[in-house]
Parts: sequence; C-alpha cells; structure tokens
Amino acid sequence: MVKDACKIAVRHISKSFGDQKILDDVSFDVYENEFLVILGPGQCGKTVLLNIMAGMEPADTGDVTFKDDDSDMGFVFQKYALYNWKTVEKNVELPLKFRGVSKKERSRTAKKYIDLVGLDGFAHSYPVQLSGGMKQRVGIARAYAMGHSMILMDEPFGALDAQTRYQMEDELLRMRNTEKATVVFVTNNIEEAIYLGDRILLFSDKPSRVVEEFVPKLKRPRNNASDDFMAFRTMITGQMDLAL
Amino acid sequence: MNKTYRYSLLSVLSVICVLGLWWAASIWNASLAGPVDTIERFGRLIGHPIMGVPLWMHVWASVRRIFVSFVAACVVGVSLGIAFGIFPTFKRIMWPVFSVIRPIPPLAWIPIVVLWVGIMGDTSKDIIIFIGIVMAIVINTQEGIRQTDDLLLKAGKLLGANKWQMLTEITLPSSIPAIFAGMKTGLSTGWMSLVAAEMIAAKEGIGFLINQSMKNSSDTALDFIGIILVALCSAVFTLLLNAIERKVCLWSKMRAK
Repeated sequence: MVKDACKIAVRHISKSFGDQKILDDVSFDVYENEFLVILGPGQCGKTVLLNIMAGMEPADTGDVTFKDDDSDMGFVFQKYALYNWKTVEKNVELPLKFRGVSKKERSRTAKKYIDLVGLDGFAHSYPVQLSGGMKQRVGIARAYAMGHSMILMDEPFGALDAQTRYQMEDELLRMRNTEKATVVFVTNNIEEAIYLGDRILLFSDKPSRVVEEFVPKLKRPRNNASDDFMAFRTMITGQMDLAL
Repeated sequence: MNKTYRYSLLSVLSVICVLGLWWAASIWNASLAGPVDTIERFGRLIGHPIMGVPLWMHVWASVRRIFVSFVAACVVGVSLGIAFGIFPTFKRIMWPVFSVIRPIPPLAWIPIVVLWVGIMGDTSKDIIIFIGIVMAIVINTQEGIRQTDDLLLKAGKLLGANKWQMLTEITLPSSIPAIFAGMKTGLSTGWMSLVAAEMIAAKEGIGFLINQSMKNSSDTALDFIGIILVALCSAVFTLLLNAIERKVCLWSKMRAK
C-alpha cells in the first residue's frame, strides 16, 4: 500500500484524570484521505483521545500536529448533538453560520449534503420528528457541510439498532465516493471496524495504548459473511482478548 | 361521541357545577351575592360608575399596568437570568442578595415604593407588579441556561461557535421553554400583586373596585365582579402567552413519532 502524506501526527499522548491513567503514550499517524478506525473496548478513553485531537482538552504529555497546521475538522457525535429548535436544514447550516458564510451559500451547501445523505424532503423537519438513523444522517451531513478535510466520528452508530447500523455504514462508504476527507472513526464494534476501515488501530483497555495495527486487505464492497472477513475478525478478536 | 367533544362537555359541566354551588351558597347565606345578584349589580355598575370612572376604564387601568410591568419584567428578568447563567462571578456576588430579596412578598415593598415615587400615578403600582413578575422569570431563565445539555455546548464549540454565538444560537434557544414557564408563573403572581397594590393605593383598577366592595356595606356582588374580571383578564393574557409560546417553540411541543 502506498502511504499517503501524513495528515495528523499523534505523538506520545498521555492523560490521567486524578489517579487514573486513561491514555498511556499513544502515538500514531493518520494518512491523508484514509478511513482510520480506532477500535477499543468501551470506556477505554477513545473519546478523551478525540477531545485531545480536537483541541478541546489538553494532554498531560505529548502533542498532536497537523499537516500544513490545518487543524479544522468536522465532527459526528454518538448522541447526534442536534439542536432540537432548529430544522434539519438549519442544523446542517449551523457551523457555516458560525463561520459567517452568507445565507445563500449556506443553504446551497446544506441542501447538497442533505440530499447526499438521503434526507431530501426532510430539510424543514425538526430532529424530534426523525428516527435515530435519520438523526445521524443529519449529523453526518453537518460534519461534511463544514467543508473540512478531516472528520472525527465518535461511535456515530453506537446508539442505532443493528439493521440501521448496516445501512448507515453503507451510506458512509457511499459518501466517500464523492467526498474526499480523512476520517477518524471510533468504535467498539469489531465487525464495523473491519467493514469500514482502510486501517484499524486496536487500543487496549485503560490505560489505553495502541496494541496493534491492522490493514484489512479485503476487496470493497466487503461482505461480512465471507470467509476472509470471518478469518480477519477471528484474528482481531484474538488480539483484543489478549489486549484486555 | 368523540373524545374532544366529551372533554369539552365535561368542562362546561364543571363550570355549571361551580355556578350551582355559588348559587346554593348565596341562598344559604343571605349576605352573600349569588350569580343573579352579580349580573344585576353589573348592570347597575354600567349605569352608575363608581367615582365617575366607567367600568372599562378600571379594566383598562389594570390591564395596562400588567402589560407594562410584564414587558419590563421580561426584559429585566431574562437579562438578569442570562447574567446569572453565564457569568459565574456575577452570580457569586449577586445571587445571595437576590436569594434574600426573592421570597419577600411584593406587597411588603408598597410603603417604600409609595414613599419613593408617590402614591399618585401608575408608577408605584407598576413597580409592585414588576417585582411580583420578575422573580420567577429570573429564576427560570437562570435555571434554563444552567440546564443546557453539555453535549450541545461541547458540539457548539467543536462546530466553531464563539461566545456570543453560543449564547444566541444554543444556550438561549434551549432555555426558551423554561423562560416561558417563568413568564407564566410570574404572570399569576403579577395579578396577585396588582389586586393588592390597587386595593391599597389606587383610584382606579380592578383591585380598586374590589376594595370599594368592602367599603360600601359589604357589596359582595361588586367583589364577585372584580374576581370574575381578574379571572377573565388573566385568562386572556395566559392564552396569548400560550399562543406565542406555541409559535416560538414549536419544536418543544412536538412529540417523537
């Protein structure tokens, strides 16, 4: 595999809350335009790591550097984080409004991404009128509408039922055909990790370290019932058990 | 018979029951005016206004006072609530003072206010009613802002909001249902303060009418007229406020499908 230029360099990040060490000397690279999955058990400090990468929280030691110092990024949250008093359209527009983008430009961009995530016809609906899967489509549209070259996704499908989850995974991959972006996708679901990831970093339980890196050499679209997929899954599961 | 129809029938029945009880009480106690006496008294009041002030002027005086005080209380109350909600230092300094003042009944201020702005004119009444309304709005605004979902605040920062945008796009809109709850609570305290203030220090208004009912050898019919007028006026205010609320926070009344 030809390694693209490094987009994000995470170096020697450690973080403790009180006596508890959450992250223990975490280092890795994120390559430009790859889909990187961070796989780890629940509560292993993955969200803290994302917060640090986003500059929301300081690390105790270590640093995160970005290619060309461009640290602007979009976000998708596990619990959607939609604003209930705003319509779908206004939610998607919001980050652009924060940036002072003109009204016309905003609504053009919002429309594009609302259509792209398959929510055409719901632009004027309110979040409470939508199902969980549809809410997260809004979340994804909003992240892409921000127009940044990086998107961090924190267990975005964690709150969805299995059926919707499969659908959303396919939607996300479909988006990648047209929208170039470096995606860092956090999950605790092995199958999801293999189905989506160009590369998978396996994290241990607290204090979290990068235990192993996997590159699933499976052709897309991947089939989660194929022998290759299963074999890969068994291998990672074995590693994960060791990591715990 | 459908549900809506049955429910409205029940409401009408309950009003009729109350009127019936009122009528029975007036039979049992002869000095108490009944519904019919009250309607008669209403007719006489139209023909012979008290102190030469027609009835509609009394109602208007009260409605105007409530309106002016309510608008002022909304502006001051929401601003103060925001300040408490977003400036921790301001809250630390002012909250103890506010907490001490808040439970004081608005009526206790009447002597001071009258001494300060004089008994004549509307200002003294407006201030008392204002005090009655503003407290609930401050508390509710502050509480609404404090209870803004942390995730929405975090998301706001990550989506690039500056402090002003955090307030106008996130914190404040999410507090609007709480602010409306405060306005409604405040409004009922406002009517309470209005009647009391007008009973003590006014030459017109519904409270003044009610006070006259005591002076004129227990004119209980006049008291009932005052009571019904207060009930009607406050119902109109509440309906208007509810209509505005429905318009402003459509989203908070929606149910998930």
